[in-house]
Amino acid sequence: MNFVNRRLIIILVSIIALVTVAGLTAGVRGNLSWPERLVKDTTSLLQQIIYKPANAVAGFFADLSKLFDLYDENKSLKAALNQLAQIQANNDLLKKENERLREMLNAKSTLNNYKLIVAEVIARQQDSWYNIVTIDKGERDGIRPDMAVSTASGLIGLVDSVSYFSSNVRLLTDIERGNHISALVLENEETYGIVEAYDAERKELIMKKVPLETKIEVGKKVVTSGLGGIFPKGIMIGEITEVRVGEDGLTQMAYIKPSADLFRLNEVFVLDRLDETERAGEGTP
Amino acid sequence: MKRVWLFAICMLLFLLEGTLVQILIPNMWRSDYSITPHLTLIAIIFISLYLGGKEGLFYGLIFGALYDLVNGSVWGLLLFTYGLIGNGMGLMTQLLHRNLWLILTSVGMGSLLLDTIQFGFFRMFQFTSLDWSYVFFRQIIPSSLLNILLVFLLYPVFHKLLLEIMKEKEEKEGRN
Repeated sequence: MNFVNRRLIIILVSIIALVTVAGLTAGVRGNLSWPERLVKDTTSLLQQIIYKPANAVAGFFADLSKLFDLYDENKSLKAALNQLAQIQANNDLLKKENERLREMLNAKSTLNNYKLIVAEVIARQQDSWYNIVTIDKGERDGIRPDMAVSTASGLIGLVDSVSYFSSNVRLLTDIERGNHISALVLENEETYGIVEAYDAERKELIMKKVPLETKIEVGKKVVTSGLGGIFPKGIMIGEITEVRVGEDGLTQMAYIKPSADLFRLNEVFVLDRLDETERAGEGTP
Repeated sequence: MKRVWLFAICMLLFLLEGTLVQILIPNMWRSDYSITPHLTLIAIIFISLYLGGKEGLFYGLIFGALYDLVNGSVWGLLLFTYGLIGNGMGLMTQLLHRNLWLILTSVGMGSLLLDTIQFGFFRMFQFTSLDWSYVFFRQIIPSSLLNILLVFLLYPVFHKLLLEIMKEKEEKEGRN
């Protein structure tokens, strides 16, 4: 009996310790301390050894299954390429004009200046509670906490904790832990909103606090606004699939389908923001 | 020497869980059902059943701490849960006859317990707004079934290795 009691007390005490420690450390990570780094970096090196060849093999089989569509794909891509040259020329012209006009106005900061750091995903914690992937670049490569991370098709999350050779990226699906994104609806006259929730059943993000007066339509694209202080301006988030009146009845909310595939990630870009900005609510508080 | 092997296998399973398993699971499953193979948990339950609750606790704490570190989430949650399961499974079943059925049941229970504790915890701190029934039927129960199936894969490896370790342990105790 005495034995059972002692065990019970140990368990109860450790539950109390767990809740205290977990409550204190939840969410906040940033730069890791050196013992944490040691373990993290060693694990990530080992993970790379397994992940890279395995991913290459998986990629090979995925390519093989697409082999038969290649001809058609090639044809349509070539057609698109012809148009691309024209678009590129237009883009260059506009960029130059934009720069010239900005100089005339003395407006220096554009909110969308950033440098890309290419990184590869080496592991993913797949429990649905940890929406975290590990990438193979760390402090050594200039990565700092709270940098935005995207793929070629859109935003996927932000850097959570940084070690020497590796860092953890918190995905958009984990947005409810305080990573709010200030967003902008394109092709509308400047409609701003805040992406602040994720609906796991629909697999879609929810943008809230859009004023009732503004009209937003299904199918419009949503990008980061650059106003929150962390994400640069103009990173693609996704497309609006549904618009509703918000829970409070005073604002609207919209469901956004993320444009990046969050379930299959290989190569990602970490965006090093060049403009000096003040943090205004985005990122981990 | 055998113990080094045991630790190496556990470590390998831990690494596979974050890497190879991620590639093998098709996207469709992952988005709709979110099934999680807990390879390391299965290993810890094996250790706990064969070598007793104390060693189960030891391995549980080590790998729980490793998970907490690598996941980069909440410090102490998995440390506690893995330790609890590692210790508890051995203690609860020490009077029962050890066979495959017992292992299957323990792993099923362990997987249920792990996922439920995590979900309860995240729900308590409001990190997730998912519904109980949704999580239970889409994630916790399918994961538990998958883990039970995975036991058949790992059983031959662990059964042989752990029996040898048990023999070594008995010899040592006999000599003393």
